[in-house]
Order: sequence, then C-alpha cells, then structure tokens
Amino acid sequence: MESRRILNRIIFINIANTDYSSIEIAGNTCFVGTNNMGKTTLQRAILFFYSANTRGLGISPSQKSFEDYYFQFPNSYIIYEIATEEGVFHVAVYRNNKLFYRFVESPFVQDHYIVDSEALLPKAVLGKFNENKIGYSDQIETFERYRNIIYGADPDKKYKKFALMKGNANYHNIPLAITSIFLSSESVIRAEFVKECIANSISSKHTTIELKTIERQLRQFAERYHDIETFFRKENSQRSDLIRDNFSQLQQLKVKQRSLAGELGGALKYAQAQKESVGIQAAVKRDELSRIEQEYLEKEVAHQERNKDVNQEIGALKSKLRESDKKQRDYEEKGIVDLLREAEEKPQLLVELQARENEYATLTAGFSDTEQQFKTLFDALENERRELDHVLSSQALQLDKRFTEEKNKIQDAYRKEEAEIKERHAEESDRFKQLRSEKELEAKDVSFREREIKQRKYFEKEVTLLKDHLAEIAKKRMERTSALTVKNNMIDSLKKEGDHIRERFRITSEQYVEKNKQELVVIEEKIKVIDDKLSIHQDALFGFLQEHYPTWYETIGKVCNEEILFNKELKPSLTKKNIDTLYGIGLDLSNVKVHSKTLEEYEQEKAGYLEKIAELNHAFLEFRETQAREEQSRIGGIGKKSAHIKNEISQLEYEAEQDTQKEKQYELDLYEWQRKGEALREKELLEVYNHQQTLKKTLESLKQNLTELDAVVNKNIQKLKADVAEKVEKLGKSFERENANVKEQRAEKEEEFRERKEKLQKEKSAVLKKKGIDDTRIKKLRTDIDSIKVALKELEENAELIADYRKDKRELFDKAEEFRKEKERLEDRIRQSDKAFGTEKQLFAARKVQLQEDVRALAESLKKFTDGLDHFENHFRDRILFDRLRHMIEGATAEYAETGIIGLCSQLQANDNEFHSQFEKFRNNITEFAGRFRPDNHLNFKIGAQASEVEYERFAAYLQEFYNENKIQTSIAEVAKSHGMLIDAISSKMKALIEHKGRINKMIDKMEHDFSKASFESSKLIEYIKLKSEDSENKVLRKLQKISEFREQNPFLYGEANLFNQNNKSKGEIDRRSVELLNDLQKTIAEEKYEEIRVQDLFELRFRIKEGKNDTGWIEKIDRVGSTGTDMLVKAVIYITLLNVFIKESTEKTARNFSVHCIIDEVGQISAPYLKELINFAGERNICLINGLPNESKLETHYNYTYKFRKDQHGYVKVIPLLTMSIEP
Amino acid sequence: MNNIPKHTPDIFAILSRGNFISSNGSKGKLFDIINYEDNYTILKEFFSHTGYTLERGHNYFYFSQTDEPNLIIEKKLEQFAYYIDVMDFFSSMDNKPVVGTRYRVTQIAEECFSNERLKQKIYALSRREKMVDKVGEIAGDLTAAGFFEQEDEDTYKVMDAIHYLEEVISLITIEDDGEQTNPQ
Repeated sequence: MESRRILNRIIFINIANTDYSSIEIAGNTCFVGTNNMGKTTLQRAILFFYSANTRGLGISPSQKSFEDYYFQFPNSYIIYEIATEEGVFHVAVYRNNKLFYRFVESPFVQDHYIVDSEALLPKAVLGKFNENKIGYSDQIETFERYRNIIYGADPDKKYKKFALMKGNANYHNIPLAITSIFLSSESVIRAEFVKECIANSISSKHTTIELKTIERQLRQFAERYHDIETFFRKENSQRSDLIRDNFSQLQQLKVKQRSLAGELGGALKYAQAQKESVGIQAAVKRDELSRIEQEYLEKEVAHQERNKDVNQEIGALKSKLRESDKKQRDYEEKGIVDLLREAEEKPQLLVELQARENEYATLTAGFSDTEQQFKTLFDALENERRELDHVLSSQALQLDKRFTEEKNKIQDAYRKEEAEIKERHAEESDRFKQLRSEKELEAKDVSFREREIKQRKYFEKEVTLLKDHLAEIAKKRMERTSALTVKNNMIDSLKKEGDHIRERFRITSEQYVEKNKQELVVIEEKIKVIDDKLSIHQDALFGFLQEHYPTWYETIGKVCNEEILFNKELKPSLTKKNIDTLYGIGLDLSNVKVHSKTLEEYEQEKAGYLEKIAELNHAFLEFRETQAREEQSRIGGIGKKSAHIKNEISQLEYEAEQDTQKEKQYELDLYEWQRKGEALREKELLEVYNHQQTLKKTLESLKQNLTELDAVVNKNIQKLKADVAEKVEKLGKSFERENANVKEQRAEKEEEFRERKEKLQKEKSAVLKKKGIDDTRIKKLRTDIDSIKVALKELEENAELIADYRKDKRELFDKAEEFRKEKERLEDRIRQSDKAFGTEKQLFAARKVQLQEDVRALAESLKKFTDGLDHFENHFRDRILFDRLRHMIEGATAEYAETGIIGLCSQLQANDNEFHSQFEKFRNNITEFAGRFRPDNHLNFKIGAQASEVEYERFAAYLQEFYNENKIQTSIAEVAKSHGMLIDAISSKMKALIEHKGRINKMIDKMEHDFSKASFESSKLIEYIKLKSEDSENKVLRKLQKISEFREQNPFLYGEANLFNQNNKSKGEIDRRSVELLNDLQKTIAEEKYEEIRVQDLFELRFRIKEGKNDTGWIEKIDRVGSTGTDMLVKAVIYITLLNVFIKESTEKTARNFSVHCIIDEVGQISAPYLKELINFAGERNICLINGLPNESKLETHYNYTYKFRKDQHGYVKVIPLLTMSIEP
Repeated sequence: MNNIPKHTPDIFAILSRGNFISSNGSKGKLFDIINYEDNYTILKEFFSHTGYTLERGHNYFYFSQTDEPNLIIEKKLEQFAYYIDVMDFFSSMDNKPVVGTRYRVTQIAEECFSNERLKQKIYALSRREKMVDKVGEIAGDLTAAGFFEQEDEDTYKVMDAIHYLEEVISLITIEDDGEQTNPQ
C-alpha cells in the first residue's frame, strides 16, 4: 500500500503498435529502447494522464492525431492505475468516436478487459465490472471534467476519491509544466520558457491580453474616431452645408420644374383651345371692320355725289355772279347811266324835233298871214303843250306804274325770299332736329353703355381664377398654420421628452455611478484589509503557523480569530508539537467550523474582490453602454421624429413661402387684371364720356344751331324786310324824285310854253307892227333841229347797248343778289352735309380704331398662342427635357399662363440648365465631401465612382437626415463608449496582469530558494543557480501600462459624454491624451507584431549559473553550461525546480501526499553520479523522473523501474522490465 | 523656434521630395498641423533656411524653390507636359477628376475599352501591354507626384493637390504662333 497518491501503472491494450503492455511507474522510471520503438508513445501516454489534452502532446500536424494513432480499435484502452493511501483505482480511456474516461474503483485486472486474449468492448468491460460488483463512475465525457477529477477540483464529492492531489484554481499549471518540460526538447533553456512556466503557474489564459482583439478594437476605434474627426473638419462642415444648400436648391428647382411643366402643359392646352376661338373672333372682327369700311366708303361716295350737284350749282352761280360783275363793270365803263338817262329823254327830243321842224316849216312857208301864222303858232304851241303835257302825264303814269310794278316786284321778291328762307330754315331745322333726336337716342345708348360698363366685370374669367387660387392659398394657409402649430407643439413636446429622457438617464447614471463607486470603495477597502493582512502575515502568528505548524488550520484555525492570527505582538514559539489541547484543555473540534482562512483563501478572496471590481467596472461600462445605447436609441427616435416633423415643417414653410410668392404673384396678377379691367373700364368710360361730351356738345351745338338758325332766319327776314322797306323807300324816293322831275319838267315846260306864248304874243305884236321877216329865228330853229337830230342819232346808236343792258339787268344784275343767296344757301348746305358726314366719319374712325385694336389684340394673342405652340413644337418637343417632363406636361389641365408658352419653355430650359449647373456643383461637392472620408467609413458617407443622379440625391438626403437626427452624436457616443471600454478593458486587463507581479516575484524567490538547494553538495558541481527578474522591455506592455496609469489618474473622467467636446478644455486635453495613447498603442502593436501580452511579458528573467569555474553572468538563455552532461543536468535541475514550485503553487498546502512524474527524454549524457544526485533532487520534491535512454548503460540502475522496448514476432512492441526492485538511493 | 510642431521632420520629409500634403489624404493630420493657428508662418520661416518656401494652395501645401537650375526647370516642364496629357485623359472620362473622386483601375480600363478616344489617349500615355497596367502606370505617376493617393490595390483617390495642376494648366496661354508657354 502506497503512502502517497501516484500514477502507479499504465496499461496499453491495443494501443498504437502495442497489443498489451503493463508498465509500473510508481517511481523513477527509465525507458531504454532504440529509436522508433515506442518510448515516446509511452511517455506521451503518461503525459496524457496529466494533461488530458490531445493537442499539447508534441504531435506534429503531419502525424496522425492522438486519437487515431493510439485508439485504432474500439477495444483500445489506456488504463492508468493510481495508487492511493486507501487503495488502488484505475482510469480507463477508450474511444467511441471521441475519447471517454471511466474511473473504476479497483486495481486493473486484465481479465476484466481481455478474455481469451481478446480485448473486450467497453460495454462488455462494464459487464465484467458489474459481474464482479466493481464500482465505476459515469462515463466522463470531457477532458476538463477528467482533469477536475484527477486534480481534485471537481465539485461533485463522489469523485473526490479519484483525485491524485488536491489542486487549487491553478492546478492547470501542473499538467502544463509537465507538458512544457516534456516538450522543451531543445537544448537551450530560454528565459522565455521559464517565464512561460511561471506565467502558466500563476495565471490562466484569461489574463492574457489578446493584442489581435485589442488591435482590431483600436483600429476600429481609430478609424471611427478619424471618421468623426473628418466629419468635424471645417471644410467638411462647410462642404456639407453647401451640399445641403445645393440639395435644397435642386429640390426647389425640381419643384419649380414640376410647376413650370404643369403650367406649360396647361398653357399648351389653353393655347390649343384658344387658338381656334381667337381665330374665329379675329375673323369676325375683321369682317366687321371690312363691313364698316365698305359702309363708310359707300356713305362717302354718296356724300360726295350729293355734294357734287350742289357744287356744280354753286359753280354755276359763281360764274353767273362773276359774269354779272364783269358786265356791270363793262356797262359802267360805257357810261350806261348817262345813256339810260339820255334814252329816257328820247320822246322829249322827238317831240321837240317835231315842234322845231313845224316851226321851221311855218317860218319858211311864207309870212302871209301873220295872224294865221301866229295863230298856227299859237295852236302849234298849244298842241305842243298839250302833247308835252300828255307826254309828261304819260311819263308820270309810266312812273307810277313802274313804281307800283317795282314795289310789287320787291314785295314779291321779299315774299319769295322769305318763303325761301323759311323753307330753307325749315329744312335745316328739320335736319338739325332729326340730328338732335338721333343724338339724343345715341346719348341714351351711351348712358346705357355707361351703366353697362360701370357694372361690367372685366377679365372675369382670369380674375375668378386668380381669386379661386387666392382663396385656395388662404385656405391652405389656414390649414398650414394649424398644422404648423400642431407640429411645433409636437417638436416642443418631443424636445421636452428628450430633455426628460436625458435628465432621467443622467440621474440614473449618476445614481449608478455613485452606487458603483460606493461598492468599489467597499471592495477596495476589503482588498486593502486583505493586503494589510498579507503584508504583515509573515511577522504575525499566521506566518509563524504557516511555517512551523502546517496543519494549524484544522486545530488552531478553528479556535483562533483573525485578530490574534494577524497580531504581530504575540511572539509565537513552538514548544511542543502535536499536542491536541488548548492551553491543556482537550477540545473535540471535529464539528467546529474553521473560521480562519489560509493564505490561498485570502488570495482567492482578494482575487475574488478584484474580479468583483473588474465586474463592477465592466458592469459600469456595460451599464453606460446599454444606457447610452438606450438613450441614443430613444433620443435618436425622438430626433428622427423631430427631424421628420422638422422636415414637414420646413416643407410646410417652403410651401408657405411658395404660396406667399404665389399669393403675391396672384395678387399682383389680380391687381394687374383688375387694373387692366379698371383701365379698360376707364378707357371705355372715357370713350363713353367723350362720346357723351361730344354728343352733349353736338346737342348743344345743334340747339345753338337751331337757335342760331332761327336767329339767322329772323335776322334774314328782318334784313329782308329792312331791305325791302329800304328798296321800297328808295323806289319811292326815286319815284318821288322822278315824279318831281316830271312835275318840275311840267312846270318848266308850262313856264316855257307860257314864256313862248308871251314871246309869240310879243312877236305877233311886233310883226304886226313892222310886218317884216326875221331870219335869226329860222337859223336858231335849224340849229335846234340839227342838235336834236344828233342827239336822237346817238340814242339810236346806243339803243342796242341799252337793250342789252336792260336784258342783262333783267337777267343778271337784278338777280345777282338772288344768285349770291342761292350760292350761300348751297354752300351752307354743303357745310351742313360735310359736318354731318364728318360726325359719321369720326364715328367710323373710332369704330374702325376700336375694331382694328380688337383685331390687333386678337391677332396678337393668336400670334402668341401660335408662336407658343410652334415654338413648343419646333424647339421643345424634341428635347430630352420634354421626354422627362412629358407625364407632367401632358397630364396638366388647361389654364391660362401669363408667362406664355415661349416664356415657359425658356423658363423650363433655364431651370433645367440651372439644375444641371447646380447638380454639377452638387456632385462635385459630394465627391469632395465623401472623398475626405475613408472608403468604408462607419458614418456611411459613401458614393460610388459611377453613381447615378438618384444616388447623389440619396446621399444628400442621407446627409440631411444625418444632420437632422444628429446621428453624429450617436456615433460619438458609440466611439466614446468604445474608447472608454477599450481603455477600461486595457486597464482592467493590465491590472489583472500586473496583479501577478507580486506572485511572479514570489515564485522567482521560491525558485531561487529551490535552486540554492540544487548545488549538489556532494559533488559541488553547481556552485549556484541564480534567477532575477527585471522590468519588461516589451514596448506594447509599456504603452498598455501608460493607458492603465492614465485610467487610474482619470477615473470616470474620460470618454464620457463627448470625445469631441471642445468646450471643456481640461476634459478635451484628457480626451486628446487618451486618444493619443490609444493611437500610440495601435502603432506599437502594428510595429512590434506581438499577438498577445501574457504574464511572462510583464518581466524579464535572467539566469546566472556558476558551475565550477564557469560563471555565465546574467543571461537570458541557458545555452550550454559546461559539458553536455552538465548542461543536461543543470537543465534537468531547473526543470524539476520549476515543476516543484508549480506544484507547490497549485495545490493545497495541507496535503502534499502525492507524487507526479517529470518526463525528460534523452538523458543519456548525464553521468551516473550526477544522475543519482538528480534523482535524489527530484525525489526530495516528490517528483518521479521518467527518462528515456537510447541504449542500455549503467544509468538505468539508478531508477526504480527500467523497461526495455522490443518488438515481438508480430511487430507488437513489448515493454520488458529490466529491474524490478528499488535500489537504494 | 520653440513652437515648431513636433511633426516638422515628417512634413519636411514629404514636401522636400516634391510631394504635396493634401487635407483629404492619409497625411491629413500633417495638413491640420501646418494649418493650425500660426504654424504655417512658423514653418514657412523655419523652412526658408533650408532653401525651400512653404507654399499654401487650396487645402494643400508644397515646397517651392526660387533658384533652380535650368535643367531641372526644363525637366519639370517636360514632366508637366506629361501631367497635362494625363489630366486631359482623366478629364475626358465620364467621372471628372474632382477632389475626392475615387477611381478604380479596372473601371477606368473598362471605360477605355468602350471609349475609343480614351483608348487612344491612354495608348499615347503608356506603353504597357495590358490596359489595366497602362491605367495603373498613369495613376501611379499621379500618385507619385501627390495628385492621387492609392487607397487600396485597385482604388485611387484624387487629392486636393489636383488644384495645383488645374491652376497651372489654367495659367497656360496659347500664343499666336501656337506654341504653348508657361508664364513665370
């Protein structure tokens, strides 16, 4: 029965090239065998017992795997038999796809596994166990579980009995150390290896800092940080403003384009509809124009025709008047007055001639009878007087008759003229009256038109349309105002909600931080207490007991409190060992709980606390991350909603702006139409007023004319009357004068006759007296007769002229006045006619102008429509722009457009040009903006090289959304979190790593202490083996340390709210520094190419070995120390020391009742005495050596077990024990 | 001289090679450093002692030298003539060389295959056999001069320094006899 726990035996059943081998190894064992005989296979199987790790056995990847090489059959078994104080049990390893373990509560019995030289299948083996009532465990399915059982770390108590030792949490180091020693076949022992072993012994894999992960995280952080930095660059923020401006301009241009396209579509349809109707209207107007022109022409011809006769009459009258004047002048020149007067004297001359001739005849006939003579003379005189009297009477009568005739004639002429005047007046008056009534009717029409104009609604269609638009805008404004109010309220409430959420999160965060801090303070306090205890434990009772009374825990530990245990003043001393009394009083402590703790327990507790701190830190980061994420998600949600609403608001505002512009435009248009309407009304009213005025004037003038006409008529009649009266008076006077003349003549003649009678009387008397003849008298008579005859002859000569004169006078001179008046009348008639025609002409001209104006306006609008349609057809329809807008243009409803088709086409083209120019800028800005970011930036500002218009717009929309939702804050929060987490993770990992430093130093101390025992006193081969640790030279570690230190100096300060906050300078500096540190770390990791930072990187290890006269100095690797044998020996010593230290570190201090194997292959070079010393050295440390030797030598005699490897006839390897007894050490 | 930025040697190393420091390149940090507060003036003064004049363009910096041998000037002019042709090539593409534009060599090569004019231009610029190599060569030349930057194996990005080329090209006047001269 073994007094210790040890791997007693290893049995191979159908393993590799062995059918069956049973090898006892419960001591130092030596395997002798040439190469490829299975030494290493066996050693590996032993190692597998300790490591239970198929991968850490030094099998190269090119070789078969452990499972495939060892367990080739279902009935392949490796049996490990373990001897304990209580008995022997074994572990069977077999394969059923994967490897399984089963603990069996009995020594290995071959019959249980092999029947009739045939290995049984695991099931059959279990049957055998059942048959023999042998207890066995459940199938252990994992290596971890197996290791836990073997190393006594399994929580299940039923497996406690199968433990080889009672390992602590670090028991993994033992298999690792054994594996490391086995695997380090190289001849050089590097400090690295020892460091690794130390590290493995004191830490687990969890303490390793995976640089790959950190580097990845750092890279991600750095990239994201860079992205955000790029985002905040001045030129980028300017560029993004430009992009957003461009985008909004482009949107507006698009909106404008849509509206213009709609307008154009409407205008086109309107134009097409209007083109026909306007054409018809224009034709109607044109017809009317030509009609009135024709009418006017006819009227003009008629008027001219009418005037022609009158003019001819006037011409005739004028020529008569001219002729009359001429003849008058001719007659006057010829002395017509005298001639007339003389002609009137002709009868008198004829009478006087007769008388003179009679007198002459009488005088000349004889002087017979004087009496008779005288009587005849007297008779003749009397006859002459009577004749004269008769002539004069007839002359007076003639005069009287002529006077009456003349008077009658004058009165007749007057009456005629008066009648004529009256007649003419009546005609004129009638004309005027007719004109007046016409004008009055026209005036009525005009006033009706005035009323109609005043009531007329001009451009009603346009005005109604505009008013409808305005009403619609007003309605929309109302709706929008309420929508804006609602939306602003929504934004306010969202803002409040956001503030509330932030505040709530802030409070929660503060509370959490406070709680976390408090917990940390409490834990740190506890750690401090433990540290205090641990720092003084060696000087206190605790340390004393640990050193001098290893089992104190079960006794003193149950009755002693910590205060006493860690009291330094007790000065303990060991008086007598193993007395089970307390100051002489025996106590049964079996049922008493142990109150005190072991050093490991304190360390474990401390580790637990540290872990708790790490957990708290981690929890804090987790909390912060979760909280920030939650906050961001909720705030982001609110931001999104808010941005959405803001977008809607801006849309509404934009619409409002557009509507305001439209409204202004509509109002302007409305005003313009109204103004036009009013202008037109005014114009028309003005025309009407003018017309009215003209009419009024005309009426007044007509009235005036009528009055004047009456006055003229009256005046003319008066004048005529006056003329007549004057003429009558003149005639009367002339008659009176002629009458008086006749009377005077009569009187003169009477007087003459009387004188001649008296004279004749006197002559008679004288003749009678003398009787004689008187010839003077005859001569005188002859002269008188001759002069009378001359006068008569002259009269005769001028008789024709006078007759002509009289004719002319009758026909012309007397009618001259009549002609003049007739001419005046006719001229007046022409004037009146001209005047009447002039009014008509005026009316015609006005109407013509109006019609021409209308036609021109219609033609203009027709031209406008036609030109517009032509322009559209020729210059717009074939453009790509039209194809793009076709759906909008063709879908529009007909509507009048002030701008016109050409204008709209131009505007659309200009809009499109502007759009393209803006888009060019927009695209360049986006390219430049996106180009500043990494191609795969996390902010997602990416644009493809061949991006389409839509993609650019999507980019801008995303940018807009990014700003609206303030997504950068989310990014910053994430980056800040990753920054904080990175620093925390690095710091906590570093802390965990550095925590080991004390233990490393302790380990190194222990090793050195152990080495001091390896001086092989008997041979004095090794004077000393020294070990020392130095600060690490690892650059990455230094950077990590810096970060950790930074974290210590700035707890809870870094990376909280905003890494990019420029407001808080000191915080900004801290953030900057922390980012720099991380960047440095990333750079260093990239430069140094380390994959991880392990415990071994915390320090540098130096050896110093003095062997004989050889002093290596402080070296990093032990290459060769002395001869090959010495070298190997030294290395073996180091290995064993290491293993010993690891075992001590990894197992419960109280029970060191087990042995492990240290497998070192190829030890053939060590000399026998040294090997002996080595075996002793190992033995002192409860370590059994398993060594391999290629050949048999004397060395094998120093081992407890020596086996030789041979192959039998079947090629199976047979392990043959050479010596079976233990030799004396 | 105490305020000289600590990255001055890095800056000098780049600029003294005739290269540019653009704000949108991987050396954007150095751009920021030069652009920071009075650093430009300080560095200009500092570098003036080395015979170089630190010049500022639109978002890029470079060195100029006042006294250069004619031979070097001639070489530079020759080089410039080549850059003009290269710029002409890139400007003839669908995607114009705007700052920040990312070109993929394969994409350019594809465009060259489908556009005869581009094809002829690139044949005049490079004698390499494969189209991709031709494009790579000219992109590489622009990269070497600091006008482009290679982001990955296939992607080149247009730097702010391209403005320098544009500015110089815009300064070129074509005289009556048709000879091109670059005004000093």
